[in-house]
Amino acid sequence: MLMLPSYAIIEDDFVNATLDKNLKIKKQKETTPNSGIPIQIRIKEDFTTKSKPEEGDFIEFETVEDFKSFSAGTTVKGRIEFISMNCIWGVPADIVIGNFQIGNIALYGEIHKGGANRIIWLRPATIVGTFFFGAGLALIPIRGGHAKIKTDKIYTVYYR
Amino acid sequence: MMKRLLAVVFVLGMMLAYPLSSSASDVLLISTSEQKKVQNHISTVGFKILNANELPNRTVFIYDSSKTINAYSAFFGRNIVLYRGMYIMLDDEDMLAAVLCHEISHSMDSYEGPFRGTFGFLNYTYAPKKYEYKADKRAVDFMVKAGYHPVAAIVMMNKVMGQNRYDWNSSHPLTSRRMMSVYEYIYKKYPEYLVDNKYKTNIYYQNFLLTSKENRAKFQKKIEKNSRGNVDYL
Ligand SMILES: [Zn+2]
Repeated sequence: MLMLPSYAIIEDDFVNATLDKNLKIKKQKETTPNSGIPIQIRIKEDFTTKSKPEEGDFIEFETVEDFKSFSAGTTVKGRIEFISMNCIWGVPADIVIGNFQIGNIALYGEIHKGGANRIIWLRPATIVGTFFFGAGLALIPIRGGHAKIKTDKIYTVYYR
Repeated sequence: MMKRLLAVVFVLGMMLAYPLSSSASDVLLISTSEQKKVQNHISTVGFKILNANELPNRTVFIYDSSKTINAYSAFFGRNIVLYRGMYIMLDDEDMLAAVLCHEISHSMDSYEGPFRGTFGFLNYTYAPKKYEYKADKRAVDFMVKAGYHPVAAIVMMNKVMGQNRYDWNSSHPLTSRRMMSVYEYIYKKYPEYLVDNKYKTNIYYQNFLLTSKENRAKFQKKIEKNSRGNVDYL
C-alpha cells in the first residue's frame, strides 16, 4: 500500500469529531450457509416504502411462536439495510431488511422485497401508444410499485 | 494456378474469420500459468464473497486478458467478467473484492422478477443509476460480511474511475457522487471502518478526502440537522 509521510496527512475531521474513537472492527462470525434454528416472524404493522423510510431505520416484527424464553409475539427488530425508491418508466422500489435482533440476540437472514415491476407492460404500451398521436409518451411518468410487507406474510430468520 | 487461388481464398477467409486488428491491439499476451494464477485469485475471492453472504443464486467469475479497465456482469449468462486492465489497477484483495461485490449485486438482481428475471434488463436500461447506487451499497454489505474493508471501495473508485462533467446523459452517476454514497453508507452502517481505517494514509483515499471536502461538508450538515432525504452531491 502507498503511504504518505505523516506530515502530509489530511485528517477526516468530520469522522474524528463525530465518531467514537474507540470503535473497532468486529471479526465476522464464520457461519455455515443455511444453518441455525429457524424462527418465524411477521411484521407488526403493514409496511410500505410510500412512507419514505431510510437506510438505518428500524422496523418492528414479532415472533410467531415461542422461542427459548421469548413467548410468541415478542418484538424482533429489523433494520433497513438498503432502500431504493420507485421511479418513472414503471421501475419498482426495492428494499432489504436485515440485522434482526431479539432482545440482545442477533438473528441471521434478510428480507428482500420489490414493488410491482410495471415496465414490463409499460414499455410495449408506450411504444404502441406513440403511434396514436404520441399518446404513449404520457405513460412514461407512471412509477413502479412501492415495496410492501404485509402482516399476514411470515418470514424466516435464523438463530445461530 | 488453381492451388494458388485456393490458398488466397483460404487466407482471406481466415482473415475475415479472425480479424487481426482487434486481437492484436486489445489482448495482452500473458502466459497460461499467469492467466491461471489470476483466474484462481478472482474465482477464490468471488466465491468466498458468495458463500460468506449466503447468496442464494449462482454466478461465476471470468478473467479476460484485455486491456480494458472495466468489469461487468452479464445479464443473460450470469457470469462476471473482470479485465486485466482493471486487475492491474487493484493494489490489494479488498480492492478486488470491491469490484467483484459490485458486480455480484448486479448478478443477483438479474434473478429478480417474473420469468426468472428475464425482463430485469429493462429496469437496468431505463433506471440504470438506481441500480448502480444499489450495487455500490450492497457491495459494502457483501464486503463486510466476507471480511473485507469496505473503504477499499472508495479507494478503488478514486484510483480507477474518471470524473464526467455531467451524469444526466450517462448510465452511471458521477464518480464523486458514487464515492459519497458509499462513504455515507459506511458512516451510517459501519462507522467502525472509518475509525479503524487502514486506508487513512493511502494516497488515493487521501485524494478522496482532499477532493470531497465540499461534499462531506454537505453530509455533515445533514447529520447535524438530523435531516432526511438525499443530499445533492457535486
Ligand atoms: Zn455497475
